[in-house]
Amino acid sequence: MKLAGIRFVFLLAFAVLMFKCEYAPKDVYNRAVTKDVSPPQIQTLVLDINTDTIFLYTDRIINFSFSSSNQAIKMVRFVIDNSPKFSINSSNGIFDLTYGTLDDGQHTLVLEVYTASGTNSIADRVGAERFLFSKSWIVVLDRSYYSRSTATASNGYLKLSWPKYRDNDFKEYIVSRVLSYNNEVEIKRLTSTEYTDSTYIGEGGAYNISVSKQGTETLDWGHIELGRELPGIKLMPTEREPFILKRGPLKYFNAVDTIKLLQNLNYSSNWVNIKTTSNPNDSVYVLDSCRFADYADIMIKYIPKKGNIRYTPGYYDIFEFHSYLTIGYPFSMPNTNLYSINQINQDEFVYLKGCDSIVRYSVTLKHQSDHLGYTSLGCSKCEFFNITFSASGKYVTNYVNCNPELMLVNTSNMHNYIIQDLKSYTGQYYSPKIFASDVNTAIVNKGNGGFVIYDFNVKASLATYQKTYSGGYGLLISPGGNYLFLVDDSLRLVKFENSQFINVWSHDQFARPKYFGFDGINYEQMFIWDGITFSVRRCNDFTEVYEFSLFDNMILNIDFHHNQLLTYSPGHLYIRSYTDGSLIKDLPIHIDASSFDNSFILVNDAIISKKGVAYFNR
Amino acid sequence: MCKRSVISLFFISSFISASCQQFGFGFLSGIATYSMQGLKNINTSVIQGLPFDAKIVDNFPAYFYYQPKMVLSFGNFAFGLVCSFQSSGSRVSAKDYSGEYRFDMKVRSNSPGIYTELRISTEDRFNFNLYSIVGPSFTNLEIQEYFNIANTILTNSINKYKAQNYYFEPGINFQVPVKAISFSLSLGYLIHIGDQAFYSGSDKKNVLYDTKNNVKVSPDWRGLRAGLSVCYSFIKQK
Repeated sequence: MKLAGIRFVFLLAFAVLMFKCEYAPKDVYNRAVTKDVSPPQIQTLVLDINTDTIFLYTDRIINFSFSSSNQAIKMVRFVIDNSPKFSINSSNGIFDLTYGTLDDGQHTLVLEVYTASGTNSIADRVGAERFLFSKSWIVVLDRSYYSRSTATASNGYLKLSWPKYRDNDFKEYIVSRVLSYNNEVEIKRLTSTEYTDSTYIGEGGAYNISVSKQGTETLDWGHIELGRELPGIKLMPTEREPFILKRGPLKYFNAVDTIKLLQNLNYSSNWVNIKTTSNPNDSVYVLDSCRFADYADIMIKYIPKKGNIRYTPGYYDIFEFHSYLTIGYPFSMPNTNLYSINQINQDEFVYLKGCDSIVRYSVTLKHQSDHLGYTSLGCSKCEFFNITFSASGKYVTNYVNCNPELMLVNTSNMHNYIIQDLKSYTGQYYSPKIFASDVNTAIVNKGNGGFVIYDFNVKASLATYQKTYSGGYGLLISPGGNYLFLVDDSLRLVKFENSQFINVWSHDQFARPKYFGFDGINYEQMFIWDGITFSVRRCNDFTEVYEFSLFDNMILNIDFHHNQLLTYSPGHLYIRSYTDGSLIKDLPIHIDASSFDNSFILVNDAIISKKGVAYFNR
Repeated sequence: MCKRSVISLFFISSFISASCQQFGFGFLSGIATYSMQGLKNINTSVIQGLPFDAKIVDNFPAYFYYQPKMVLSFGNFAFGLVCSFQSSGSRVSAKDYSGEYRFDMKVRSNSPGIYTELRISTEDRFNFNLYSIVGPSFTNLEIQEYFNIANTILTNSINKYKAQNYYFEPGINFQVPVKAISFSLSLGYLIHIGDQAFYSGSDKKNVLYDTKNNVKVSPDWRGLRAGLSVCYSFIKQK
C-alpha cells in the first residue's frame, strides 16, 4: 500500500504539471498614440465643378486636387446616390462621371475627402480613423435630349425645335443640314431653341443640331429626319369631262416660289408644260388636252425660294412628283389592265381581276356588286382560264382546277356555278373556249375536229357535228341554244333541232363578215356587219329585220338592253343606235381602240375601258 | 501520447522489475531552450506586413519541460523509457485605445523515447552518469490571429498544424541517492532530426509556408535541456 501511494503521488504531480504548465503568450505591446488632434484645413487646388447643379448630357471628366494643412489626405471618394462610384488613395486624380451608368432624373453627387486622424493609432494606420470633409451637388441627367428635337410647320415654313441645354458651359447651338453621309452644311448659329428654315419646302432631308460649348468642344444635341412631304396630284373621279387634277396641300407653302405642272401623254416622251403658278393655293387644274382613257404621266415641279442648299441640278428630282393617271372614272385598281370585260345584264358587267377573281360591277351604283374567287387545291395557277361569255352575258364558262375542268357560272348569282369535266369530249390536253347558251347547253369543240352540243343538265352530249373533211368548229351559240355559227368548209349559220344540224346560211369562210353574232335579247335574231352595212336578221331563215349603213372602222360592242352600238374610228368612239345607226355620242380619244390592250365595251350608256376607267355618257 | 505511455510503463514496471538489480521511476522537470527559427521568421514577416508598428513580445522563450521516466539498472548500466512534454510560443502584439492586434503561435510536442545511462564514476555518495534519449517527436502548432478595431473584431482566426520528426538528446547527470530516493541534476542538448514541415488537416502537402523566405516551416526543438529529477528506486533482495 505504501508503494502504491508513492506511485500515485508521482503520477498526480506529473499530470498536473503536464496540463497546467503549457506555455501561453501573455505580454502586450501598448503603442504610443496622441488622442486629441485637431482636424486639418483642406484647400481645393483643382476641381472641375463650379456650379451647384450638374446637367449631365455626356460623360464628364472631373479633375481634382486637394491639399491638407496638416494630416495627409488618404483618400478621395465620389459617391452618387449613397453608392460609392470612385475612390483613390491620393489627394488628386480624375473622376469620370459616367453618363451611361445613371438613370434619367435627379441624383446626388457627394465628394468626400478623407485625411489621416494624426493619432498614430492602429485605426489611423489602417484607415479606420479619419477626418472627413465632404461637399455635395445635384446631378440632373437627361438622356432623352437627342430624340426630343421636333419639326413642325409654322406659318408655311419648317420650324425646328429642340430642348434647352442647361449646363453652364453653353455657348450656342449650331444647326446644320445633312446633304449626304458625313456631309453636312452649317446653316445657322443661334442661342434660342428653335429655328425656322424658310427655304425648306418638304423635299425631305435631315438636320443636325449640336451644342457648342465653351472652348472647342461640341455635343451632338439633336437629329431631325424629314421624309418627303411634297404633295402629289390626283385625278378627281369625274364621270365625264372636264377631267380635273387636284394637288394636295403644301405643308411649307411659304417656302415655295413656283409650281409647274407638266404632262406626258401615252408614253410620248414629250413633256408639255401645262401650268405655272406661284400661288400655293392654286391647286386645281382642268386637263383640257387629255381624252378619256389616256395614260398621263403628270409631273409637278416645286421650285423653292432662293437659299435652299439642296436645290441643285443633281437633286431636282426630289423636288418633283410624278402621278401616273388613266383618264376617266376609276372603277378598279388604277393602272391595272383588266381582262375579259363583258356586259351581263342591263346595268352590270364583269371582268377578270388578277388571277383568281371575277368581279361584277354596277354602272348605276358605281361600285362592285359581287365577287367570285376560286383557288385550286394542290397547285398554284391562274384560275378562270379561257373565260367565255354567252351571247346574252347570262352565263360564263372558264376552266379551273389543276387538271382543268369546266366551270359554268350564272352571272346573276356568281356563286351558283357548276364544275364538270369535259375532257372525254375535248381530249386530255385540249381546253377550248366553251360557247354556252342560256339553256344550259354549249358547243364543245373536240381536239380532233368536230364538236358536240353538250347539255350541262344531263351531263351528256346531245349531238355531234363531224364533217368528214375538216370536222368543223363551233363558233357561237344563240341564247336559246337552237342556232349556231360554225366553220367547216364554209362559215355557216345552222339550226339545231331534234339533235339535227340544219344549214340556214353559209358564207365563204375566208371572207368572213367583220362582225356577226346572236342578239342577246331577241333569241331568234342575229346581226351581221360587213364593214358597210349592218343588218339584223332572223335566225330561222336569215331574212332581214332591218339594216343600215355603218362606215366606222370597228364595232366594239353592242348593248342589246339599250339598243346601242359602240364603234371606233381613229380618234373617236361612237355610240350609235342599234336600230338605225344614228350617232348618239362622239367621244374623241387619243388611244388606238383597235388594240387588244385598249378595248372598250358599252354598258348602260357608259363606256368601260379595259384600263379600269369608265366614261358615263349620262 | 506521452500520458498513455507513462501510464503503460507504470503498469508494466512491476513485471519488468522482477529480472533486474534495481528498478526505479521518477520525474524530471527543467528549463529548455527552443530554436524554432522557421516560426520566428514568420513573426518577422508578420510585423513587416502590418501598416502600424507592432512588437514581438514573446518569441519562443526558454520554458519548462517535463519528463517522467522508468529506469532499470544492471550494475553501471541502466536503460528505460521516457516521455518528454515541451511547449513554447510567441506573440506579435500591438494595442492602443482604437484596437488591438495579436498574432499568437503556441507550439508543443510529446516525445516518447528510449533512455540509456552509463555510470562513469562514483565519488562518496555522488554518481556521475552519461545518458542519451532517442525517439520520435510529435509537434502541434496553433496560430491565432486577432484584430479588433473600435470594438469591431475584424479577424479572429485559429489555424492548427502538426508535424512528426525525431530527436536525440545526449547529456550528463549527477545523482545523489538518499535511501530509496535519488536526486539528479541533468544537462543535455536536444538535436532535432527530420524536416517534416507543419501541415494542416490530413493532407501533408498543405504545409505552412514562409512566404518571405520561400521555405516550408518545420518545428525545431533544438536547444539545451537542464533539469532536476527525483527518482524512487526499489533494490531487489538476493
